[in-house]
Amino acid sequence: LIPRLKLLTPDACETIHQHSLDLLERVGVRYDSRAALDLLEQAGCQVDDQALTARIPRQVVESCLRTTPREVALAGRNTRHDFTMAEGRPFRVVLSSQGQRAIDLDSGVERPSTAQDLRRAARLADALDQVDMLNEIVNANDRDFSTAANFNRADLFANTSKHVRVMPESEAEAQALLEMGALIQGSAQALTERPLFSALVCTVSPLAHHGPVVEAGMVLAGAGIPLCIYSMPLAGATGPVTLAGVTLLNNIENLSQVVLYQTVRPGVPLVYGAGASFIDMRTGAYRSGTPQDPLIGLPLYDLARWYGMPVNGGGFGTSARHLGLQAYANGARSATVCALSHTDEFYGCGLLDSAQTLSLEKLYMDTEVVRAMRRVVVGAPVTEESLMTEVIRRVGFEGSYLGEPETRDGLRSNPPFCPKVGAYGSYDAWLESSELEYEQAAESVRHILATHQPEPLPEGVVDELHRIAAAYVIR
Amino acid sequence: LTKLRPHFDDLLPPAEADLLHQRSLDLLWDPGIKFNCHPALDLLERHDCRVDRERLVVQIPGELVAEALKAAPRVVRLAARNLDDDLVLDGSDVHFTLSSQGIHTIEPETGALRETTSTDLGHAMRLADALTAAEILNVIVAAHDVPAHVRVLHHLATSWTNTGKHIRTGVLEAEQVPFLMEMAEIVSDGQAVTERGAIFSAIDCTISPLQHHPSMTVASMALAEHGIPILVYPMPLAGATAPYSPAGTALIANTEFLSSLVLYQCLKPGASLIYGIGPATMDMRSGAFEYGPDAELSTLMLAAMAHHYNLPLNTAGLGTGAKHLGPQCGWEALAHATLSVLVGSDEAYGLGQLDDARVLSLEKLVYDAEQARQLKRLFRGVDFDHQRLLADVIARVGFDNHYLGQPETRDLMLAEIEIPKLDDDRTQAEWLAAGRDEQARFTRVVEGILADHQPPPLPERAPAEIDRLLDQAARQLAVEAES
Repeated sequence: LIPRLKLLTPDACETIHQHSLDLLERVGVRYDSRAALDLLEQAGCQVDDQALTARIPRQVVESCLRTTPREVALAGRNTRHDFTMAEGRPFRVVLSSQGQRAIDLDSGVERPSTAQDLRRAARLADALDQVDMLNEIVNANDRDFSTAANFNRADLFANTSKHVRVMPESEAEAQALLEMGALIQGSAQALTERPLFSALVCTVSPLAHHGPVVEAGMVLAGAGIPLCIYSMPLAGATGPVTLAGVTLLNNIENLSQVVLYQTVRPGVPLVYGAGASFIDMRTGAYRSGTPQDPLIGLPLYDLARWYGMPVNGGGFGTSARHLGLQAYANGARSATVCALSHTDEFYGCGLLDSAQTLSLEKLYMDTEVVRAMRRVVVGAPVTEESLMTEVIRRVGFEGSYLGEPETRDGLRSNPPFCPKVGAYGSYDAWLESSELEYEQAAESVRHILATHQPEPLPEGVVDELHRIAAAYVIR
Repeated sequence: LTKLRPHFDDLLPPAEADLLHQRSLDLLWDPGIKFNCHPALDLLERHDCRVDRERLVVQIPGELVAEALKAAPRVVRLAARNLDDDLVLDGSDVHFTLSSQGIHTIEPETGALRETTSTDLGHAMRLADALTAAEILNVIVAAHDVPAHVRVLHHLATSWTNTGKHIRTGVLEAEQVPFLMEMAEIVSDGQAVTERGAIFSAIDCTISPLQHHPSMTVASMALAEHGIPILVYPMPLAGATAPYSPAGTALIANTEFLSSLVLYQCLKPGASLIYGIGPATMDMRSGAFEYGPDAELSTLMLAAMAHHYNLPLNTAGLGTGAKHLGPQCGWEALAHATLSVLVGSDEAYGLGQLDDARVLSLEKLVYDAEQARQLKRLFRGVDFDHQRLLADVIARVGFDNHYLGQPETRDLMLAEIEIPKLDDDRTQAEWLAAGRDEQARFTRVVEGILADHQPPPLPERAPAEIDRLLDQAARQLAVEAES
């Protein structure tokens, strides 16, 4: 038994695909970049130089889908952290991204996030076995904006030997990344072969792109760096209010990215993003963890698989602004859907308040919840051996399975799942200890931060990363 | 309009379902099932089972299982004292049930536990009566202030006084059944069992491995004869009362369920049964039962079997081992309940208790009901057709516009969006200043409902008749208990 959650039928996928092709051809997409439009015009798209839009014939889309690989291989600084995402492979956990605030581990006070928060989160995530990929989890508000993103990335590369997901928003940032990546991996060629980082490139719904982001994406795609193509239509505001409609818009925008980046470099690895969400009817803003949230990703995951692309699924999204009941009530729901759907990337560990506020305790707890989910997602065999019919006969009606050799063997080969956070004994024992989840997690985080040292970069490399970071002024 | 629901693709491949079924049949024959009560032995012997009266063991042939599977209905009707609260278990919706069998509640001042009373039960029932998403009301806690031999009758009297919804209870003694049936007729003006269904149902817990409870089974047989639906609920504990493997645990549970299915279908062909799924893993640190990942895997296997047999199913739902309303409660309850919804349950268990269904929390009941309401949105899935795809609107809005002012946004918003209630928007600082309290805001809801909510009234003469019946039962059952 392997649980594989689905929603769309193949017919429904085909319907969405056909509508997507029709709208890409008839309405088109605004790319907001001269460089992108030049390339697309050569590929056979109808370009409007004034509006900076392109209408994309269906055969262009189909041909770009054909060159999109079914597998995406990502690398770390250390080959031990390399992995490939493809149908049938385990999901990979990637941290949440672009938070602006942090809850201080020691004081509990919430404040704007800093470079130190980013480094601590990186070091913690480097130590947590459930985390496969780091991310720009928070911005360093204490850094000079003109180069902050570059220095943040230098910090990430220095504080983990795992793969790093970035979100460059200009060509200069992309160039800095390529230079840093080549330095660490040994050469530009080595970086292409074992991409140390991948980039998330996001559209501007509805049906538009932001020129500088597009140009960053083109630079990276040109170097063979894998991209997570993302769009975030807000159903009811920047997207249709229906689940079906916002799925369609998300898919159209993703396909517009497939076309661009496969035109830049046929065969460049792409991950299909599923970023659609619902407007908060009370505030008009983005809000994580709405009742529709667990549903909104599902059709997009199905579409990604229908196209044969790895998919990024939203895990622990929550609107809660503190690490209490609601943070996990929201998070567990979409995380369960995401895990059981076998999305290749399981996104969203570590942030509260609709992905705005870092909590290191949450990052730790999230990975514990993920550990439990992994055990469900891999399934369990239903075979003569696992059914243990003969053992059941032997034990009969009165006996206990505790003393049976098969139980002993099973406990050894597949030990019971033991959560590291939470209360699992008696109520009275818990009341006596008065130990709460927040404190258990905080203690573990403090221990990791006090003891874990990420694998260091070779002598002088950090200085060189800083030199590169300073050399590429973003704005 | 096509409704596309989340579903598991080929959850248990046919070969695996057949194997699990076949091995269940093998075990039903050898070693058989220990029924522990003569009425069951007598009945099954008449249906060509091989009965060992000394060991109280019945060997059930496969053909009898096949007949029973054919006879058991897919659609089970659960009526209610209040007509608007009638339910039909037909796979078209998930219905949340209260938790059950609780024995304690928390003293708010000290956090310590105390035994539950009739007042606690009454409050929980009245609260659940007001909470729309609480649909099947298990007798959630025991009334320790009532003598044990008439406790079940008092539970039902308290429940029917406080709610018009469908009630569920376990009944441990067959002698209580005539009183229960009479009470059901009193509170429903003689409509206890109609074509709308019965206004209460019963739970029959098997005893793993491969046994039945001696008196609960006899009582449930008596109830089934009256047309009361039975939730058959095996609770194997992997590593202790079942093999230490998700499949082996599922095999024990499925075998026990099938033995009950045969019993009730022999008793009354077409009897309404619900396939209950309650596997757990033993926590090797404390010896307590735990609903962890391995139990979820067994649940998935068993849910697939219930679908394979075309029977309504009940899964674990919003239960948690957590001791307070905090992160653990959030992730356990919602991960389990989400799985329950995704696997296509007719019933999802467990509103209103902490500490693995031992500790009543009215605050959790309020929160759970809101989570249940939101999860029903997940169950409904995605409405999919050309009108909902809004391709024309996407073309009309184009690049430089937004969807806020589009007529379709206005028209379809309420059909698509469920607005969350009871969200906690406190900042970290506010939460810390409140001592990380998660209870107070729910306590206010509890107090408001208990102050205002009036359940549908009982028929005018019912309270006096119930009192008379309880008196009579107290005398008669005490004599029987002594003899």
